[in-house]
Amino acid sequence: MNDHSPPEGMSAQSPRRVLSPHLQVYRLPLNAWISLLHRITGLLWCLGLLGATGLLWVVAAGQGWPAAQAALGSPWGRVASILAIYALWFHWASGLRHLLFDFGFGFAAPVVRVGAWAVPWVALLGTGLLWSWMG
Amino acid sequence: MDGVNGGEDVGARLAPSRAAVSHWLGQRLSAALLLVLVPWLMFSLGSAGGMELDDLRQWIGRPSHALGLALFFLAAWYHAALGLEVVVQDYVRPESLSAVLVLGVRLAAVVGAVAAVGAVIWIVAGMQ
Repeated sequence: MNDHSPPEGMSAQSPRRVLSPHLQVYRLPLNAWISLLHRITGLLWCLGLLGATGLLWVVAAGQGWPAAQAALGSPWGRVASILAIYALWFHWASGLRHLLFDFGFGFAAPVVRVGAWAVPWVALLGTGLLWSWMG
Repeated sequence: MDGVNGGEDVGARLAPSRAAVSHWLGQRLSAALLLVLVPWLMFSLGSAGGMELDDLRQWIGRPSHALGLALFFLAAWYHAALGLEVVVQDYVRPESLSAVLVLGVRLAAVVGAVAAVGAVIWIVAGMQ
């Protein structure tokens, strides 16, 4: 037995052992989840922007619009559209929150928490509003 | 030695922070534009999938709509490039690969923006 082996009855996985700080050890606060999702929804909308530019090109060229319509109107197209709209509203609401931060608003801890909590709900509200608007 | 800066050109030393400030400002300015343009577009063209091609072109062909749409695509491609740049710089190593990808992102954004604005102009021109 050398000096570096764990003491008797204490395996390497023992919960009593001190763990070094690492992402997988922490339970992420809501604020961190919103931040992570802001990046993910932003990345998704890079693809969305590519798709939107492609659709605009189809409309300008006047070729392939029926096929694009069929793709958008198919069950998977509808699901993807709704998720994309929710992701866009999410990024919008989270981005608005960051713009307010930049102007110095909402730095008190309770406001930060309420703001983070509001983002997914504002996104849901926006998606619902758009849904009812389109009939 | 040549003064407190050791003879170095202060302007050259500050260049990286200037780039960072313009990145920060550009991100916020494009975000402020998109804050208005995105809901406008969602409510205007959210049901575009069900529209006839001619109706859609007519909508886009109106001067105010064409201007708003072109502004949206310019701001959005710029905003996307700035955001992607940060993501690439945060997660891609080695730095040489990261630098090449950043250049690729900028090039792709310019191509995307030109294609989108070109399509809007094409539609407006086709209305005449």
